[in-house]
Amino acid sequence: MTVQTRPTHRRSAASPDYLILIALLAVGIVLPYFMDSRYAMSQLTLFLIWATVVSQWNIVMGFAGIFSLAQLVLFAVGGYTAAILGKYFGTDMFLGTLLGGAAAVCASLLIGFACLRLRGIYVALLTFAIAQAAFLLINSDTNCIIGSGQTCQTLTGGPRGLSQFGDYGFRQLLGRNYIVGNYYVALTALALAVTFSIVIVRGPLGFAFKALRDNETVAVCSGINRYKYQLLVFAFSAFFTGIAGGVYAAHFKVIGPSVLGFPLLAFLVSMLVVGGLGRLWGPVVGAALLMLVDEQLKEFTEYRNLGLGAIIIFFIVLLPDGVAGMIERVSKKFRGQLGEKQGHWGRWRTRLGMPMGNKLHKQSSANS
Amino acid sequence: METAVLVILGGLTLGGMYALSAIGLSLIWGALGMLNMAHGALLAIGSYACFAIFTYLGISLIFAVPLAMIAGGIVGLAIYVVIVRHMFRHPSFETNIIIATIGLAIVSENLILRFFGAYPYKQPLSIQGGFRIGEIFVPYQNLIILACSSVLVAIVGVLLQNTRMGRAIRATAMNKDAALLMGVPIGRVYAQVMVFSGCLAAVSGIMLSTITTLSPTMGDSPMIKAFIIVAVAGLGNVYGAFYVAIGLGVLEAVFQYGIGVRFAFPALLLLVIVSLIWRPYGFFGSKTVVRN
Amino acid sequence: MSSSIERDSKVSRRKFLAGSAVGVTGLTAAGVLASANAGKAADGEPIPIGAAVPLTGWAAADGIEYKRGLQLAAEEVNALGGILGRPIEFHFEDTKVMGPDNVVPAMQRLIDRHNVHAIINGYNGSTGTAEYDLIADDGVIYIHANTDVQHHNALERDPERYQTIFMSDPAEVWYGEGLLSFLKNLTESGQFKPENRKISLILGSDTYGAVIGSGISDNAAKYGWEINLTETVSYGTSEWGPIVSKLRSDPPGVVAFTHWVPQDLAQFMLQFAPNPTNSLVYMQYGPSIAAFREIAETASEGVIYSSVAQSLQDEMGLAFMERYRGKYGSEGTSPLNGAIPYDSVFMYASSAAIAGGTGEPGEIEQNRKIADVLRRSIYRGVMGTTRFFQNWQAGVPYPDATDDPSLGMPHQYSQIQDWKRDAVIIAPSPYETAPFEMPPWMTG
Repeated sequence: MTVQTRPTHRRSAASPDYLILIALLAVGIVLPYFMDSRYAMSQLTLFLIWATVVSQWNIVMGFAGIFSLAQLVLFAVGGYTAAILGKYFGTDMFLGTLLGGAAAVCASLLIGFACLRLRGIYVALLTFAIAQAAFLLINSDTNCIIGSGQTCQTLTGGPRGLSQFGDYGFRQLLGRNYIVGNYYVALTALALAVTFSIVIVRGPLGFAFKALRDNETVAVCSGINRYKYQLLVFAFSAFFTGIAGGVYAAHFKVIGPSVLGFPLLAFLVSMLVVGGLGRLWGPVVGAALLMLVDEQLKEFTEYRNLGLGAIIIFFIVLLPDGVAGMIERVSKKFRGQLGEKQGHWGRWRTRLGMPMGNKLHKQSSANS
Repeated sequence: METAVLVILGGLTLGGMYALSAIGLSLIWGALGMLNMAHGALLAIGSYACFAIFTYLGISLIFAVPLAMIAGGIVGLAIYVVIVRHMFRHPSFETNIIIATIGLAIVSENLILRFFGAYPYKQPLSIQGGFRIGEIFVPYQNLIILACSSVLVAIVGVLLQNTRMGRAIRATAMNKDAALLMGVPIGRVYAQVMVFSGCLAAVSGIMLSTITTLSPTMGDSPMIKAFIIVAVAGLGNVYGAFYVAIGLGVLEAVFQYGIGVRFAFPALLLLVIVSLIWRPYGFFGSKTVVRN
Repeated sequence: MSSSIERDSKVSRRKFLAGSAVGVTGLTAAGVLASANAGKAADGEPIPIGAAVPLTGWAAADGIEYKRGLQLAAEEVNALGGILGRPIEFHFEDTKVMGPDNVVPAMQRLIDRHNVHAIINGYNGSTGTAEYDLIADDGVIYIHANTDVQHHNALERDPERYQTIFMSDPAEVWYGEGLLSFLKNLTESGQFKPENRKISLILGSDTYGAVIGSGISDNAAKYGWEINLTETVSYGTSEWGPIVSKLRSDPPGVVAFTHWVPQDLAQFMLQFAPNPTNSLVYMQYGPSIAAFREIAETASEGVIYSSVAQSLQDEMGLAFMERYRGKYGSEGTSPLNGAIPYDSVFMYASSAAIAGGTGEPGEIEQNRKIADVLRRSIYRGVMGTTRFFQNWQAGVPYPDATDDPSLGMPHQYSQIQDWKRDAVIIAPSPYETAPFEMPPWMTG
């Protein structure tokens, strides 16, 4: 397996990831002291939430090889669970958020049982169909569970969504600066999610998936059960995704079916790709980059989406391994770990339409 | 009797519309192994092109439709030149192209919004009148949609089966590397398919918009239904997609009448999910077309 | 207070008509503004005002009209001297497909980045009043037309905190019973004899559609009707065969739609008209958009619809539409929708002028002064009268909540009688422009 080919690189790989995590966490912790704009704080919180979702999505799609488009369904399950518990049972939002994570795990097992025996694009289509069905069912939910007419309250709140279910209570504690409280909750969620990602990617499961991807026959023969491992990863990542949903609901104090809509799906998928699918830090980089770009584009109101679309195309065509992939290549080149012909220039050459020198460069993209 | 006729008629029209949406998508998937998320945008581009050529340039509809097809073909070619050409050799083409075409869909939807606004214009190409079966009035428009979808499917089928280009496309679909070794110019095959599907999408879009009217997002919902149809049919099987589209259309209409409109589409989705678990490669699909 | 505004404005309106460069607007609010500005030119420092509207996504058709209406109003307000000599300047944010995750950040950005003194919107769907706390923290004025009963609930919950938030139009809850009382008038006056007392309901799959629908079904028995069919349809429903056959199997006296998407409704009419039942067809809002008539053509004739959110066809309303089309062209524009935020801008500007100026974020006291003026005043704009419920700070509908046409926003019932022209208003009095006509597909 790959482990044997590059042992030195592998052994040293785990610790830099934790160091990066600790460094980023430190920055994240002190950041609010330098921010006085609540808008910026709120956007940072939203960034943390999306980064949590895409970091888990990345584990599912980039490492476990499950082309799932249902990640936002799990997000919605988490958010709606927290909101429903808060609204109808008065559950504390912290507890609700955790239970939201648990509910997302249950949902992921159901979806996983149905989808994971399929491969590739069929998983994408099926999970997309599930997301659509959920979106339509919530949007057309008009059955009152309490009251009727003016006082009608449907379970999911229909297209308007649910609100008035409480929050983390920071408003009473911190007044106008309550966002800072939400920010730290979101930061905690992201830190846990990324730690989990590191454990998966750099641990035995990561090797198992790498083996499956590199040579499935050999991997299966050495006793790796793809279905079992995929289900495991899908369920674990659902937990953090569900938590992110709960944080979202508590932060905005409302959750509606727009989280299942296509525009958000497209936005988050772009984060994955721009950052670098299958790269540990890719999604975080991608989320940060796209939130920043989107922020700049807001000045141009009507042209905002246009710019976003153009950027997605630009990145996927010119940098298909994303920003993280590019950074990796550049840094590897500096460290001299890669020969010239497999490296940076080799890729550019093929992209520019020049003949492919050899096929080795393909492998380098699979080994992150 | 009267009820049954109305329901079946509605279902056939729905099925015809679904088939129109699915043909281009199915072709591109089958031939190029790419899930084209910009397919909805292509539908919209074609119908806006027809609308603009007729309304702003004052060109008769007899010419406006072919011109719109040419416009669709040019857009297809542009997609190949700007995007697909740079990507189809990449090992993760299958996933990357989905993202790229999402970007493309966003761009073209917003360009249409900028040029035409979001006002729901009427598609000038529409056929008035109809005939009666007993009490029931059957509009010609519905029949034309059904006829048009069958003709397009037949054209695609003949083209794939009986022409040199079709053989090259099928060879590429079966095994890209082998085709390349046999001297098939894959790049040209990709370009041809993109142009062809652009033309197809233009016709489909025009026909769809005679019923759904024009809007920048008009392609979104047909595209989602087309995904489902293509998945149930088995990816890349154009005839299969047609039968499934008609079948699902009629089934949806029956569900709408039987259990209520709001549950019809979710029920259909459920059925699709179950059927995919039962027949993972679709009803008309075969394992060989699927790339892993 | 309000009566003095009325008197003031009449005087200034005459002055205004005599020599204003803007032309005949005849707005009460404009009159107040002109006199408060006392002939000053708007050359001071601009006052930033925000608007968070859906400029892309499926609601863009409405959002673009809102932007046009706001810009037209800003121009006219500035021509009248702005607010006490300071011109107003709009900053727009796109709320895309709306929902809290788009609307809340957009409005936060308007406040933090552009320091807006007020946010004036058209409609943003599905926000669930998530944006209210954001507004309340800074106390700026927020006027929207979300047509949402949750606005009432929010103001009942905390009237002090949300006192700078206004909903310029009446909540959707009025529409349901409003329809029943309209039908009552129509039948009692002998203009319409329903074949039976059944109503078939076709609901749109959004809260707006559901709330109006339950308003109809909950009150139907009280007015002597029974609901024989309820169906919920979603955006983009173009094939109506199954629903038409359900209608034909148990023909109702009235078919009522709360689905509002104009192209979908037009397709229904195209499929229903050749296979009709002897039923009156009522639709919510959608037919007010010209596309409905353009698509359905003669099949649209006879349809009845209602809306509050459109300009009247009186002297003021027609002049507004003319100015609007003059500025933006008549192709693909819908001045009826642009009227909503247009009126709100005049209301805000005149109230701020009376209150002695605008307040930036954090200047809660000044903004509350403006809110006090807004709450107590009565405005006559292009949509008719806007007066707020004192407790809910939402528009009062006429005749649903008041018998006096000068005290409520007309809940207009219109009928398309000639598809080539704007629909005529058939109720309520005194705004009607033509009598009800029996739809061509109905007998007797």
